[in-house]
Amino acid sequence: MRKWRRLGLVLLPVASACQGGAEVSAPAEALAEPRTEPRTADAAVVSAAGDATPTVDGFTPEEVRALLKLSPLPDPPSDPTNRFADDPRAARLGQFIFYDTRFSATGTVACATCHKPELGFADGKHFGEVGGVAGTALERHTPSLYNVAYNRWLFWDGRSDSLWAQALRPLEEPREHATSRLAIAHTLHANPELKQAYEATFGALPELADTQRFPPNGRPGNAAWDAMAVADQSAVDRVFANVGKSLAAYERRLLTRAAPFDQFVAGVRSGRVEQQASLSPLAREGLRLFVGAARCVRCHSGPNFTDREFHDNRVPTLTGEPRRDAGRHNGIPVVQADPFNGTGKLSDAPEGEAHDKLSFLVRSGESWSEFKTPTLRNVELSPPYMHQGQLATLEDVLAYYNTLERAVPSHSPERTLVALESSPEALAALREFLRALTDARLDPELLKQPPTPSLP
Amino acid sequence: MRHLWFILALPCAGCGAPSATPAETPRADITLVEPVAAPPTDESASARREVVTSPTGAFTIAWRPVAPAVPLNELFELEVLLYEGGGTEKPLGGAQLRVTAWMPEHMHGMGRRPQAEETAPGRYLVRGMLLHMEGLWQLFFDVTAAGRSERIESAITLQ
Ligand SMILES: [Cu+2]
Repeated sequence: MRKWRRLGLVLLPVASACQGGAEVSAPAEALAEPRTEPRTADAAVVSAAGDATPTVDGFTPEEVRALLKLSPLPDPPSDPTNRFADDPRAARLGQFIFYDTRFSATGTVACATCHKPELGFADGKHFGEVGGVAGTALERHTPSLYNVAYNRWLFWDGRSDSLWAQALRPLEEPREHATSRLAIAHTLHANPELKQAYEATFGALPELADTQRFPPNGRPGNAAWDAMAVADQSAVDRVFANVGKSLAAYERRLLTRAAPFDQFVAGVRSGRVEQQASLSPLAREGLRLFVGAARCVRCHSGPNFTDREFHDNRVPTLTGEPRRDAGRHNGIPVVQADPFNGTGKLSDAPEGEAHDKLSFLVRSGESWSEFKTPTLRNVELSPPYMHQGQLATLEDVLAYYNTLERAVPSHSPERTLVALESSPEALAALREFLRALTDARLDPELLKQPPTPSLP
Repeated sequence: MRHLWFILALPCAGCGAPSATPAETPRADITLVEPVAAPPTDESASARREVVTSPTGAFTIAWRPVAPAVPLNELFELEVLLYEGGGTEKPLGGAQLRVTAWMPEHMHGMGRRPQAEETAPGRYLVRGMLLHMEGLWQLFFDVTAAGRSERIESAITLQ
């Protein structure tokens, strides 16, 4: 009955204050003419928007409308803060750097050290760990890079607001690349191929040959950096930001959006039943649960299967100790203070959307231990799951959500998360549906370092 | 303490599905006195304004999204016209307005604190709204003027 009650929300001009005294109003789109809803999928129905909902065997019209929202996945949104985001030369340089270990203190660490193409652009470990640098692991699980171009926030706690700002942090993180913006600028300058590729896109590098003005190594907080002229610091910051923008231009191409599920939805839209066969009967049942009784779609919504925001899914820590990771609660002040954020000097569009995205955020107790909803596209390629890799397999994830037996108390009153309370068969169906979200057919040229940092 | 307000403001929290019989039907055909110096708007592309009066009748608002519709999971702005009393004849300038949103079914808000700016006497632009999930959202308009504070409640269902 539940879904019919929820459907009622859509159809009736309703508001919430049943005895509240305040006059109640409903928005224009909720005021569509109430209509009779057939309970079986044996007839096409006309939705509130006036367009016909296709029929799919075994699915209610409500379920069909819900699944249509999940595909196709359009092109990634533009990133006005990075005017090189869709520049092929920047993407080529970024791809070259992504696989280049020279951009690390030890000469052994590249982005691809943890974001391995063969492991779904993740690393298969609980915690990110490059080894050999500082010897300590990071506190969170390495996320996949598939479809990062669609994210509103980057990192599990959203402490970066753009892909290019995100790419800068691991470069200077002591437990990752452990390099510095000065060292990066010198690497570009000292290598004719890199220098040529950089300058062709971003313009001349600063006078880095002058090591009095530009010491070989340094970042804010280091004595060498802090002694530099402000203008020289700004020039190096610009180079650093441009490296991030080129890495982002490459990562924007790591797309997955032609999974068997997308074929199925195309078949639903076209009415071609043979195309709908790309989903097995079991996966279809999983899809029905995904958009219906299991309520996965509450958070894994939209065609990238994420609401791009943050929730506390109450998964216990890997060690079973009390939770200490504040998640989004600490991500908010960090992203707001980031000099490389969308409102900063090196953003190509500091006003408007970039400003509004950051400036109204509230750091409340409710955001404590919230983490970003990940996409589910290609999800089977990058186990383990959750921000500490606590759950080894998708079966474990579904088992967790099925009972929530192990769920720990939350700081938030949020009640989005409800136990699936489903049968083993239903969980198997959901598992099969998640497998139908896999499309790893990237251009093989994107999976390795290109021969040169410049386009031929 | 931060959670108390919604508990008090939510007479429906325990009654399952929201009532299908609102206390009054929205006053769609009401005549609004437009505040002066209103920016020209293309009414044909605009959402209809929702008119709601506060419980004691001290304030009335007429709100609508600046865009033709409230988008799902995207930043948007609201335009709020504020009036003295239970009608829409006397625009009220110089008031404080705070807008919050709450999903009663999921028990969470926006994680954002939108800001209202008075752009003409009685006309307020609210920036920083974002409703990230489908379903029923309550909108709370907290109005403070002349030493008096009242909450006006409205709602929207996103799908
Ligand atoms: Cu919600």
